[in-house]
Amino acid sequence: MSLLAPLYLAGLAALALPVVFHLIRRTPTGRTAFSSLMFLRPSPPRFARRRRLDQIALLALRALVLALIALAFARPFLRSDARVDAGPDARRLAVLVDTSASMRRPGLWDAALRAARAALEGAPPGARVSLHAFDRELRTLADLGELERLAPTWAATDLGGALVELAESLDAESAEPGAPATVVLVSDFQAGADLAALESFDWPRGVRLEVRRVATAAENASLHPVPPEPGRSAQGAVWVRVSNEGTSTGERFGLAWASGAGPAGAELAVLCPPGETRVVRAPERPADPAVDRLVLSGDDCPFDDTLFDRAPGATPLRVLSIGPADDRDEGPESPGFFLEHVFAEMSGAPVELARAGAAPDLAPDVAGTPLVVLELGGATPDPPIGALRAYVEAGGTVLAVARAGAAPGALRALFDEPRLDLREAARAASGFALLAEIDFEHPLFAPFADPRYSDFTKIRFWRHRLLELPEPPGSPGPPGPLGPAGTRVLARLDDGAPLLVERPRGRGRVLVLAAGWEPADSDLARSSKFAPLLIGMLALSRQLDLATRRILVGERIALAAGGGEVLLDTATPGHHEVEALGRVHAYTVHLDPRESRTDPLDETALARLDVALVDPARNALRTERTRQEQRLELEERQKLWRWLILAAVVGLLLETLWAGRLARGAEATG
Amino acid sequence: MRGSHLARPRTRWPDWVDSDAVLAIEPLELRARVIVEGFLSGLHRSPYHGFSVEFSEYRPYSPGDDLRYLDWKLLARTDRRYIKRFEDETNVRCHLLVDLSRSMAFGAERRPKVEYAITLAATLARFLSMQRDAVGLLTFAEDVLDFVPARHRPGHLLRLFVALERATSGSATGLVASLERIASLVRRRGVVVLVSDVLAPLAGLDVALGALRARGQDVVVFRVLDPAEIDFPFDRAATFEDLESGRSLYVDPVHVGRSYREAFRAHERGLAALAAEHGADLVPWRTDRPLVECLFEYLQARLRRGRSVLRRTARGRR
Repeated sequence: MSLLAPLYLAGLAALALPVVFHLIRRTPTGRTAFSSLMFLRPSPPRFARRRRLDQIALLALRALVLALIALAFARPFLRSDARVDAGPDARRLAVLVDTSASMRRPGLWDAALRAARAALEGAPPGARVSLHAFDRELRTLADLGELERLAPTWAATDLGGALVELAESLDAESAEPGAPATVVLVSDFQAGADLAALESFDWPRGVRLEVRRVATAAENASLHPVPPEPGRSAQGAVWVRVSNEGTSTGERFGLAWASGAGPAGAELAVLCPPGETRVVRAPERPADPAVDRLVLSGDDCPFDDTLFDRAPGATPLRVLSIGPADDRDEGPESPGFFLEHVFAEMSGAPVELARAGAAPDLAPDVAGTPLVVLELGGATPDPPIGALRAYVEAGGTVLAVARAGAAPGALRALFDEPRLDLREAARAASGFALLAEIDFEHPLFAPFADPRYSDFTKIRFWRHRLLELPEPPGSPGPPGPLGPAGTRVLARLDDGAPLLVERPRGRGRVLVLAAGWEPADSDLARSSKFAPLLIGMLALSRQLDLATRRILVGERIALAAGGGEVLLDTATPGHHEVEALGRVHAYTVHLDPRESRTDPLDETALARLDVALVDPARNALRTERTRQEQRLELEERQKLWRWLILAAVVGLLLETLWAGRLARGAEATG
Repeated sequence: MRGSHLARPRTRWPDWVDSDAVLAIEPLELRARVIVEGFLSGLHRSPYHGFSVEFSEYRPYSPGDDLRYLDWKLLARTDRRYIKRFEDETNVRCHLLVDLSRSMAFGAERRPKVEYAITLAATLARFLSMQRDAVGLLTFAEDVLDFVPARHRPGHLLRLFVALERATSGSATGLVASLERIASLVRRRGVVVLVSDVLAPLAGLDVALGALRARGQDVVVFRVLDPAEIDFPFDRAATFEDLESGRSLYVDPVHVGRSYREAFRAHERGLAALAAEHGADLVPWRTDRPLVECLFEYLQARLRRGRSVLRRTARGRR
């Protein structure tokens, strides 16, 4: 039983009144001041035993009447009914707790647990409650205990994805469309949270989102690797990006190499004002091979202050060059001369150029040999087509350079296109051709997309070959795809002839360069673009190479091993190893840089995405009002107070009769 | 002797003007004057004019009278010889002992006893002062509160009245102590008027009264009592609270009334016996009696007990 106006129960204090009256009757009626008690002696109080017993019975009746009246004014109602009645309309409540890496900041996780607990305890009676955790993925938890056993992960915050998934499931499980449901989001609501999934999502009508933001005063600066840029890649140094959040006040940080045991080497002072980012060159790496990370010091949140960067491995990469017999002796005019020098300055692993004749040792070891240069033309012996195809299928990159006099036979075999033709192009009237169309979206040319690097007009092609592929019916003209198998023209000369063509095959690709890079054919080898291009080609295969690949926490990467796949462990940032294909692959997992953007996100960002937000204060008020209305309605329906008042009236009648009879009896005897 | 026929005077007050009306007069001095003048005006109309020492009058000189008391001015004006008799008779030193203990604050249906007591004392003081007697005052509660030596000089009465208007206090009635004190303070003979309810054990009073009498003091005791203290008219059980000690006692008058009255009478008898033994004059004074009668009681007491004193002082009568 519940009470609508429990304050009226204070009226129960009136129960004491009859007792007090009785006590007053039993004690002397008052105090009398007297000049002196010297002539008085005490007399024992008088009690009428029989009368006392009668009065106690009467007292009980009076007390009962008063209690009934007080209870009636408190307006009781039966709550069990309330629960049953509230059943169909009971709301659904999903508590969504952020477990992303940014929740590792000091104090946040405890605050989040408290907020989640409060949200669960504050659930309206009869509501169906579910508990979820999310970072990159949404997980459903059994109870609060499971949440308490959890800890923040290292993964990024896919807030949009989690909300979409949760809202969809809430909407799907509701019997009627637009049934009310509330998602209580407990999160630090950082600026780096990914809301992209919400952009194309139609937020369900009945689902409302209540953001319970947990905050910390801890300041955060972060350390992340810089994606390679053409201007920086060959420096042999490590460049890092230091970001300081806008809410910080400090701006001086220290950057130093460290090993698992602790810092190693000198610290570099980094000045980075709040809200800004600095790209700095890390101090020189100590010779100690155990040194495998850079550590930023000077902020309050260490979770994103470590950048794992291991010294390039000792095992060199191999670039296999299949072509005419050793032409290094031909000096700077020969293609092999440039090929030999182009990888010398490459940062990272050393590259070893291997030359092979017609029957090279070509195991499908893509990781060890990321690039095969196949020189067509001249006195090139027949290439090992079978081995090359297997190599490409496994993910390798074959760069076929069509030099003067190249025959289309090998390309036909590699392209599986017997109608492919390759012939010498007619010389232009100006004497040279220039690059006219470049596909800057391709990874090979993407580094040149910046206008600072996109000037290819200095590279003149004196002569080139014409690669002709049978046009698929109805296909658009140049520079569209050349063939049905996804052949892509990456660069085209100003006479419309494709210069660089990519043909994917299996997990790898075949690139065809329709001109040589040696000075006899073009200025390509002597241009500044040559080395980045070739290194880019190397990297096309090396994307599969775990050692150099930039893997983010939580990324799902499967490694082919035998008949099945080995899933990489990417749960925590750091250096990891996995054994597959008979050898140990080392890889490094990085924290998602977005997770370091810990500045608070404005909640209107969600409102702009049409998410129905709940104001917590107004919500609490509304909940309380709804509850009060419910109780009022129940009480109105049950009207228990009427029965109580009726009982009190009956009690009063009894009391009157009884007391009257007592009085008459007293008069009769008195 | 003229004074032996002393009778109650007819006052100017009608009967319905009771003591309360007089007591309602706020200034004590005025109150005392009203009573005294009322008393005197009634006195002057009485056929028993002229009595004893307190009233001034001229007496024709007869040979043998001390020439020091001859009124030379009158002789010069009228060529008749008169003796200013009263001047010789006013060297009575009267000390008023007024009980201001808390028990005096009791008044069941009337005003508190203390108001009667101080009005009584003030009336006596004024009356005596008008007779040129020296009046002193000692107020006491548990201990002696104020002592004003007996004087007859301008402003002295006012001092007495100020001392009388003190609030009641104390947790007991230090009757014996105050009597001993006055005995030690007053060396010359005189009159000691004790105004008190004497609601205190009689032990020790015997010695104190004896000491006073031994010093030649005439003792008059005005025992001011509320009628309720005498008759104990209560009929409802109540917790009775001692005004002095604060002690409280549950009392059912039905059971206790008789024993109270018996105890009170016994105490009264004991006090009366004690007074008789030491030649003190005990005047039981109920607060429902008109105040003006106090003067008659006093004078009666003086006449009853103080004839020797009168003789001693009224030299001119010899």
